Amino acid sequence: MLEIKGLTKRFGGLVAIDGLDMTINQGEIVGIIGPNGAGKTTLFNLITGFLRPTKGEILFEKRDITGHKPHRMAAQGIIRTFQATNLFPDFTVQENIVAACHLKPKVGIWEAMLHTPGSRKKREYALSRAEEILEFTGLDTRKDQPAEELSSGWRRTLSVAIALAANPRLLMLDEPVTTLDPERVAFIMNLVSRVRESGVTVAVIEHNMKAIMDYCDRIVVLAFGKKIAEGSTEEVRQNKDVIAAYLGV
Amino acid sequence: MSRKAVKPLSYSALIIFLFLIPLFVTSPYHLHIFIMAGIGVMLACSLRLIFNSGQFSMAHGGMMSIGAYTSALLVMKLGLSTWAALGVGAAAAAVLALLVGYPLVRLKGVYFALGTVFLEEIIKLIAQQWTDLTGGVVGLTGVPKPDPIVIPGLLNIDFTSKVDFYYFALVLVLLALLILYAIERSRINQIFLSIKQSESLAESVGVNTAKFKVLAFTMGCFFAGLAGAFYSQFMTVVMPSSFGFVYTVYVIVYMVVGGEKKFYGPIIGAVILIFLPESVRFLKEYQPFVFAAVLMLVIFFLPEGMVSLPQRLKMFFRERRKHA
Repeated sequence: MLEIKGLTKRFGGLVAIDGLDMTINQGEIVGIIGPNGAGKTTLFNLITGFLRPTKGEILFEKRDITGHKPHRMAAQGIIRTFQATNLFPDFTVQENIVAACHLKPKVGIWEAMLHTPGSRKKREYALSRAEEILEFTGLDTRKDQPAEELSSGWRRTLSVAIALAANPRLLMLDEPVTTLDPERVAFIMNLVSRVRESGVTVAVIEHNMKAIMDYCDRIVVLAFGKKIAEGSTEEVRQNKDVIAAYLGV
Repeated sequence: MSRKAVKPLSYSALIIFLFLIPLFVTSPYHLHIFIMAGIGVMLACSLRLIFNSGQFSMAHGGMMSIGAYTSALLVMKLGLSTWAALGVGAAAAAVLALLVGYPLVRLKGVYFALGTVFLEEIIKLIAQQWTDLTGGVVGLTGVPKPDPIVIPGLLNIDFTSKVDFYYFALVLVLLALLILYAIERSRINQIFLSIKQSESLAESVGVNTAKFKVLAFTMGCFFAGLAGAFYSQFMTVVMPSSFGFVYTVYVIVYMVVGGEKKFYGPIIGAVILIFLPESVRFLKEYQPFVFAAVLMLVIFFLPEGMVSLPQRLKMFFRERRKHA
């Protein structure tokens, strides 16, 4: 589904991503792990268009999308979440999700300003989609609460819900469960599995090894901007390079 | 009567009241202040539209002068009808905003604000220096008043009295507010607000944030240009100093004092801050102190503006009841 070839990102003298090749297959949950500073978030920023690569190419369903702007990536179905939980804090939970339904149905500038019947229909459709997502994510009981008043667990859930509202085909989660308690970790990771079952491919960066090992089909390990290992959870767990990278020996 | 039914009724009552004002406010001087308040309302509300998208424009005075000069020059040099000039003046400000918008919105937060300060200065310098066209520092004098509206046997409005201008301003401001309110209630405004809260998140769910920020800036500047075009026909004089940086700051203060969270905030702010200093004219050179005092009181006690006053009072009394 997604193919990355020779991807390189330099920040001045620092090479954050160094000639990386990797693929993400349709329908899988792929875990991306590695020590701090390995370049995981940079990789996400490159794939979602928040950064432009120095070199290399990114192919999404065989089409070259290297260097596109984030909103164009989103239009293709590549939707991400952010490490520092990113919400619309003044909006209610429901408004957050409706706001994320921007692309489908797409908001037309003129029809929205003139309040045409078409735009009203789109708004109703967005509301009904939001309702589905609220129910799917268990946020329906909190839909009228302002987002900034949610507990940290529900905030993370909401940031996944926002991404779902944007109609992802490839959902990229940047540390969705780091620092959460085990119960909440299981809740969010179960949600992610259900998303995958609905046909969405998932890539997840995470430091919580239990979450990665329990829920991912495949793991890619990065260190210093390079891929040092790749494979099933079992293969990665026993890989010497991975152990060395994590323990520093 | 339900609360829902009260709202449209009280709005219509307010509008009817505004139409009746010339019956009991007859002095041209007072009508002049009413008209200036209308211009202030239009500027503050359109500034809020830009602010809703998370951008702090400090070029509103400059955009107003674009509208004023464009419409005045078109009428004086090319003999365009004043009514057409009104629209062209507004459109000129919008087109300029569209052109400079794309590079400007790349600047975020305070850098955008600084960029607009320079834009305003550039506009002012051009108006001062291009003497052949703009009349330089002296500006344009003898800008024609609006062409008369004549319906034979029924109506003959020739804009010789302030009352005519009062109705002109009232209709113009109400129309502008109607359009701004339609935008406020649309999903476009939800997109603006989402960009204001988190630009990266809006971008990640597919919003072309640059496009929508330029849209907000362009639409806001359109109304600034419209206000400027009206101003030129009302005052019949256009000078670079009429729309200086200080004027822009005044408009920002109207918005902040009224409260930018609510649609009617800037309306309240503009009306209070224009009428209050006028009502204490006997203070002469100390008049601006009243303006400053209101600003400081609001910043200290109502950081969300005057619109938050009822809520604040409610909270205050609830607290007192608790302690009693």
